[in-house]
Amino acid sequence: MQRMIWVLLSLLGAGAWGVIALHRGESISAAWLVLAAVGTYLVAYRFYSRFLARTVLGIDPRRATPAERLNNGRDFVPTTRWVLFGHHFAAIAGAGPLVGPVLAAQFGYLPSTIWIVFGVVLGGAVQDFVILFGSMRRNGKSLGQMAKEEIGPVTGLFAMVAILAIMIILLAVLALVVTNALKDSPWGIFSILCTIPIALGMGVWMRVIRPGKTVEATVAGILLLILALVGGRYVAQSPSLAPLFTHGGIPIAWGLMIYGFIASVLPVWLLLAPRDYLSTFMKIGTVLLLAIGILIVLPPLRMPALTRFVDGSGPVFAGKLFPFAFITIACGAISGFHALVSSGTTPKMIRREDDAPLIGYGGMLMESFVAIMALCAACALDPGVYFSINAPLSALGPTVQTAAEHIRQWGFTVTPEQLTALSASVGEASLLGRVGGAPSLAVGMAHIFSGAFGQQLMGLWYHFAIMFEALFILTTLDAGTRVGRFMLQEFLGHLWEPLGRTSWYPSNLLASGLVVVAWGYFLVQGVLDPLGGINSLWPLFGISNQLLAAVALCVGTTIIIKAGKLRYAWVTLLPLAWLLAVTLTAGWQKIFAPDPRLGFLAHARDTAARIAAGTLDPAKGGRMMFNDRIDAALAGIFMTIVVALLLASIREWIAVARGRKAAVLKEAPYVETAYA
Amino acid sequence: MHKVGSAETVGSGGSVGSGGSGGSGGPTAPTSLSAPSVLTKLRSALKQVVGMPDYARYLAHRQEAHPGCPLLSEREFYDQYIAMRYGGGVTRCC
Repeated sequence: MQRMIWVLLSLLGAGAWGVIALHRGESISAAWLVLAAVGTYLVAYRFYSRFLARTVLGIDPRRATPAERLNNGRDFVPTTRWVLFGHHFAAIAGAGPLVGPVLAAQFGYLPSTIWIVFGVVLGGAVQDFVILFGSMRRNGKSLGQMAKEEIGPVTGLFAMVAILAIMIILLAVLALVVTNALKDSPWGIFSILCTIPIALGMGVWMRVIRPGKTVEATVAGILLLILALVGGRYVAQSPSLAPLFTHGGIPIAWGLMIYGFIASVLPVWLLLAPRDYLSTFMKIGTVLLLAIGILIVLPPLRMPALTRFVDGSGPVFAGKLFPFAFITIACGAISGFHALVSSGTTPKMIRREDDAPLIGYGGMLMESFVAIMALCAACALDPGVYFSINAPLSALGPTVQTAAEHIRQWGFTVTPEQLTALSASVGEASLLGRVGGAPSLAVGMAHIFSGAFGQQLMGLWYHFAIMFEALFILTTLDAGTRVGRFMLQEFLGHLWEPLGRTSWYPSNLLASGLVVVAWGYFLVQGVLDPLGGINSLWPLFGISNQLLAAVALCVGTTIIIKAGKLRYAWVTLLPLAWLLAVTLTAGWQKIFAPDPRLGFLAHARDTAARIAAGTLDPAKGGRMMFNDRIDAALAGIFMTIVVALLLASIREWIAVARGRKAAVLKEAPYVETAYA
Repeated sequence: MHKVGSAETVGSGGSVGSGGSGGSGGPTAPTSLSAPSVLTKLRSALKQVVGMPDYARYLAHRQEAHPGCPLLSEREFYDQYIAMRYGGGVTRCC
């Protein structure tokens, strides 16, 4: 009977893939993408994750977990498996799986769908699960500590540098996404600004007025958020208030930096914790709402399966399908950042070892599903509308007329009237050139929501989606700046001991300031970039994120080999090899490609030529060239770290495999569980 | 499950001062007579999903593992939990 169900499920998934493959050139329903994805997830979860758990890792239900052995009622707490699944999912899902697929939609829906589904099944979910397992067997050690202990101290150092670098780039690119969504949008700016006093009020409520009453404060906070959202429309329509909240990219960028700095030095209970609760509630709620909306509407996909931009000429970002689709979509397929979360709070909360596949592997499948939904929302838009929002103004021209004409040349039809009507319907002056993914995702979500829950509310749904994205991006700016600060203080502490003290306020201010300046530098560079900033920053983020995934897979491979399972090491070596191919090719092309839109150095040469020809202001051009070289150097550093890390790992693997080195794992000793 | 049960009664009973003198079982945390309501369980699950401090669970743990030892007040527990959760590594992805 059970076998029959699995055969049926496999056939269903395979059938959906068949429909996707055969209906090329005509529009298909998003339902087929959802079916193909869910069918594949279920089969992979049932068979592959079980194989990983039983045969490769040797999950032992009799072995007590750290949550059981070290239970302190605080961070080490045995947690019911589905609750922990929710906790882990809420921790790994963020802006990444939403933005990446939207940007990669410029290639069409087919390549992204295949990568998101098969990337997660064979790569991302494996990475998350293996690292979660490794950390669980080591009392919740972090990825960096595991890299140091299992591979060697140099690898540990590389991992630390990689984490700090990815943090900086991540914060810059997320801040850029928010900046582009909010610029010249009084409605958006007003409602986002309101989140700050709301969070402060919640913080005081939860600690001072009614200590520990977090749920009631958060519910009140969400009601206030909705009020702010509705109030935003009033502000945007008021001739006296609207100009107060209308700002361009540069002032918003500075505002974000000042916010990030102040927020990261305030006590956590005042701003960060309430903000985290708000955004987590909103995140879970919105993802559920989006899933319900897509299932009700089942929108047809207007984007072709493959667009002409697979040749690398795409306006959203430069570069061919390989490797750039696989760099652009990181979260949702495989994301190195997850290795940090999987070796953070979650391993300390697992009740029984055999809960780990559901949480590590299953949690990542769920995130992949979020990415598929984001892809559906983007591809359900008219391609003409999609490109009018996601291509930079330099490619579209200044007006709806020029934009419609350029888009027609790319082979898609959209009328100027359509574009004007769209921005009016969401209460914005213009949506042209709002690069970064968030605005087009918000339009797609607003379409789906208003299709499912009422046609009249496009503007409100659009700004709800923008607020939801901005809310957790701002939370990430605060939390990320803090994490960056701790890491920097650890480095600085080696130079001068007092700088390493996290309790010393001057050291905190200095380190926070340095971290903000670092991401702020890339943010301002992105805002000023005529190509839209996303074109250079998102690939750098993708490369650094995949680099971290390579670190995680090296650690995973080492754990598997040292456990005497060399013949199964392919489960992590396979995704590792793919990531290396992708990261190194993308890094090489970003540095050396002759196309100035793609290669940093070619862009610098092009800029120099324009300065020499007198068509570009030398001061401005000089800054652009400097930025190009910084970006090229950064890509070079990432590539060097990957190669060095790989060599160190291979040396360790060979030593262990040949028996020259004892295969000793640094696991916590075995204790039998009391949970039957 | 009985563990959660005993604590939820205490948690919903309002603030519990620090202290809790000796004696098996602990006078600050009476053994539960009634099972926790669905709402209490739901609230506790929600707190765990979001990563909020769950004082009731802490009380349950202290009662089971360290009966008779002094307890943190709800505010002290809140401060310690928050400091631990946001005081170091990465807790959220992008």
